[in-house]
Amino acid sequence: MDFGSTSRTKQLKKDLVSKACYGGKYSDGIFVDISRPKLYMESMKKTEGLEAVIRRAESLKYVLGNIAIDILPNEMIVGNPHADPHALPIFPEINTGLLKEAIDDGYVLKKDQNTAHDLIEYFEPRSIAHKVSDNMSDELKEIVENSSSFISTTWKDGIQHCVPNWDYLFENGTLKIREKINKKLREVSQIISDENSTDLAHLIDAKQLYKGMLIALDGLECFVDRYRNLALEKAEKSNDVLEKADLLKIAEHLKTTLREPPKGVWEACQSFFFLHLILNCIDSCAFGSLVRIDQAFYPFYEKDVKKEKNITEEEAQELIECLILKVQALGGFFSRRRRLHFEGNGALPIWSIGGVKEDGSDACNELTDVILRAAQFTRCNQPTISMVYHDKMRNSSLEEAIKLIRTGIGYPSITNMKWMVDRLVMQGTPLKDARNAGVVGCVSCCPVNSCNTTKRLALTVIAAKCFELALNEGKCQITGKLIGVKEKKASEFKNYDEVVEAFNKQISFAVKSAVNVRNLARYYEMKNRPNPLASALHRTPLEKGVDVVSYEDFPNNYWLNMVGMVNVINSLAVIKKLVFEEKKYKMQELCNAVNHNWKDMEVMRQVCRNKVPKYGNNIPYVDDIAKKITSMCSEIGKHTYDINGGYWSILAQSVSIYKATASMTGAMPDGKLAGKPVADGGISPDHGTDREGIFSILESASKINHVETKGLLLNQWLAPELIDGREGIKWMKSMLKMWYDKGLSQIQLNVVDPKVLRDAQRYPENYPNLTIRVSGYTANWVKLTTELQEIILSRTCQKK
Amino acid sequence: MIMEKCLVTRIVRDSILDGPGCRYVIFVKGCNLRCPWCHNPETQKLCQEILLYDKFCIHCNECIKVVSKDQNEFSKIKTSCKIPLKIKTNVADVRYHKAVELCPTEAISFAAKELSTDWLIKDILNFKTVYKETDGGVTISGGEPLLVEKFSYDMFKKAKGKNLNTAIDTSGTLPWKILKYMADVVDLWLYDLKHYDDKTLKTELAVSNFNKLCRMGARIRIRIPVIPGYNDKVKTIKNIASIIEINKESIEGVDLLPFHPFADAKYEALKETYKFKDIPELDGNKLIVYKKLFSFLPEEKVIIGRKLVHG
Repeated sequence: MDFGSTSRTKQLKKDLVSKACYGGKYSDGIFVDISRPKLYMESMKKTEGLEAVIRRAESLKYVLGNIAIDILPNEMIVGNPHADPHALPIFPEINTGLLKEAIDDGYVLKKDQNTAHDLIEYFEPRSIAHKVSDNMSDELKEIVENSSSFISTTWKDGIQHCVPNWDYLFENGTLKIREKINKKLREVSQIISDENSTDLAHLIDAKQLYKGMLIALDGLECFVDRYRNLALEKAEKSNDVLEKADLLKIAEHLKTTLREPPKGVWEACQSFFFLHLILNCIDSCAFGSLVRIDQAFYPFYEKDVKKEKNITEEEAQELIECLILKVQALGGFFSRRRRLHFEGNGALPIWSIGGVKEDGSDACNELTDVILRAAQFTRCNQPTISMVYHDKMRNSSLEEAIKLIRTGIGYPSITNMKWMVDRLVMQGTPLKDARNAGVVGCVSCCPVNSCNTTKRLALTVIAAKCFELALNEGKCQITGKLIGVKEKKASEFKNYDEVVEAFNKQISFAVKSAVNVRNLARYYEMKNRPNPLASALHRTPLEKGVDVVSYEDFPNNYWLNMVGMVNVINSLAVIKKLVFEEKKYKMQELCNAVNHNWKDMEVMRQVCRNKVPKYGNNIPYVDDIAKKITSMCSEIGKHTYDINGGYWSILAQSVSIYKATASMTGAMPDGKLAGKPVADGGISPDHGTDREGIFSILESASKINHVETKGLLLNQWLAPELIDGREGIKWMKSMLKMWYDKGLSQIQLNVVDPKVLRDAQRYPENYPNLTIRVSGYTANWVKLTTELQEIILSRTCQKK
Repeated sequence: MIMEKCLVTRIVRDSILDGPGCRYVIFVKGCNLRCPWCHNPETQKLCQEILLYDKFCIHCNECIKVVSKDQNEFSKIKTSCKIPLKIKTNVADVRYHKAVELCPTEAISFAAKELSTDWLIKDILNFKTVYKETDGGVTISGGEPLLVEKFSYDMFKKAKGKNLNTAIDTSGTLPWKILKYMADVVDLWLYDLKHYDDKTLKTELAVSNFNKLCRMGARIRIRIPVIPGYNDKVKTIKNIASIIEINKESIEGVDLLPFHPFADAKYEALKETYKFKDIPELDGNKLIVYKKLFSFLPEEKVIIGRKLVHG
């Protein structure tokens, strides 16, 4: 099958080099780019003694001015992290450990190895990872290394979600922004020298920041110019009339790109891509989430397509397809663990569409439909799309979204607008900002104008593991080591409440440890890794004179990602019913069976699995437990603090962590076997335990208080025949309306026929482009490990 | 008011195959017919039954502890059964109930659950958004809903009280007065016309009731299961079509349902013989010929294979 709506995008899709990992490995030919960190090191050596923000700005300028660039055949939107599309960015200034892994795993080219060792030597004592580690006790280090109850090492991979305020940038362009910065710089300089200010420290920091912003913008503009010159050069050399025309057009557009507000869809796409590239793949390793793209681009679409009729709707769609394909081509070098956790994808950029405007009216427009149609053609696994749903959505947008889901690609995921607004307002966000919000990462919500996305946001806590610790005095049943709180034996629990209390203690400890580590990383980020470019492109840093990495504009944007909550809930139901109510088993008896991985205890395991209500079937007995445990975890988050004083929210989604953590979690009272994965998705029922269909799952999930969380992901599979034809669209619309009314936060729908998946397992060569959703992102089916394929197939498919 | 209860074998909350829009489908237990190809054999008997699924048995022998050895003789019907209970279970015997309770898997289970119309309407209202938005509603299928007419009547009355559409899936082979009684609360009849003169399956009664319903102005969707060797002759279908043609004003549509043998596992669980076990699945494309016999209806009203589950 051909992808792309035009011959150009079809060809671009064919030529694309994927950076996704499957089975923990990148594709053949992929290597780590040493040239960017080398340039960074050279600059850093030159700027020693200067302020951090100036050093960061100078290094960015130096990298952007010297890194190898190229324009690939057929491209309309240009820009690459490196001239070679096989190169992956790496950031030893954050964590040299990754570069070491890259060398060991053979991703560093032979000719680069000496330089790589130089980089390690230089950055080792200066890296964020080193500084964080230096502040941890040996016990904490040990727990972090084992990391079976929590994963707080995302800072080692340097993950964040860095984006500008798109509307601010598009309104002004860098030329006007420079004027604003210069004005502020003059003001501040004057106060510093002329007035007896008590705020001197802040004023000096602000002054340095403004200077840094200007240097960073020099770098940005220089990067654009380099591409313009390259386009002209290539046009000069080209003998192909069409190619020449394309290149000249690109050069013409690049004259004003970023410097001035976009003239049309092309400039908007190109500006977007340059910044996405620089902020996420050149300056730092980030994902570039949080954009309401149909809102940000609409003024230019309206002008270009509707008013001035410079381009047709189809041409606009082709441009969006080009942009999607450029984003798809990006990736990063990730740790071995992370490569397994996020099997299938390179990074996690997500575009939000739909939703409401600041006045509460529907925000969908023609561009919403165009983007959704473009995605139906490109079938890329990044960027994924999240549709902010409400019940007065433009009908054609909703139908295009359903058609996109129907391709089986697994997105758009659907975010509940009402939940999002309620949630953000409850946290203290003004209503208009709460409405002008979108999705960061996979499910979390955030106002689009926030600076907060530039920070390292998420932590993962393995709730299932914490439950194991609760039943075993804090000891890991795999290593035998104490990794939690030393507590009383399970046999001493007198009642069900004491079991809940023990779980509370262990998960509180895991949360606290994880947050402490993350706060250390945050401190060094603020101190050593300010972001003058991103700061220049946001409204508030300029106003307040505070770097975007340090500034907190909207409250509490941090989330604790709880993995395996549903297994904990089902396990608690088992203990409550069989141990304390029916007294069928003694606590010790059950724990022994669990700790011996149910060996010779199959009858007991089956009783635990089948004779106790399971979450997801609309049974109050266990749904009440789900509600209480989720609230309990929310409370724990509320009493755990960020370095800036904000509290943590909980969120539940497992990405493919649910698979990667399998080897680290033991058996559980709900019947789970050791080494088997926990329930996926966040609040999806455990594999094969839902018997009553999707409506009952929605009802169960609605018993949980979604507003007190940062997002609870429900993953569902639908057989294609269920949403086939006009009737299927109608069914889907009504199902979504019901889901919306029930106040659930997020739903992801996979629409794949298991028969097709089985067939693709057998004959992968027939399905090179079969894409499915693995809770949170989309992956190529045939490339997934057989193990993960089997897990996905064992999830109950909602089938007629 | 007396709360009506009924044995329900299954509930499907998101069906799009059993009437207009999205449907809440209740499968009631008990049928007056014994169609040999039946796809839901567990709905035939009015009383509770116990199902034995070999493949779930983990050989824990819990069940045998409550059923004494002398009762546990080898069944003539099925000797390959791995579950220790070898005989056809006797549902009147409480020891078998205990066996269901003790079985840790689903190897031994009840075929149905007794549910009240109050419980059902409460469950339905959880999802009313979907039924309303799609102009869907509640369907009673089975089994034969007319056999439990008080339950069906009460259920529909409650559904109509909540402005939900009601549909009944029936063979129409009970006395006319029952159909007449039910007509008050039924918006749509999903009406089986499998033959025109089969005495065993009382199709003459079905035809005469059908004609009466049409005269009353009822809305009807005809279901014709096309069964190899029973009604798959052009002549048979043609005769059925001519009965329908006379009443075409009442007809919402016609579903031609190709036979499939997927009910095999259920017969095995009931320890009954499935006579159609080895008959291959009927290819829907073969039914295009029959579709032409209904040319008196608009093309889109005659559908092949819309409904797979129920026969």
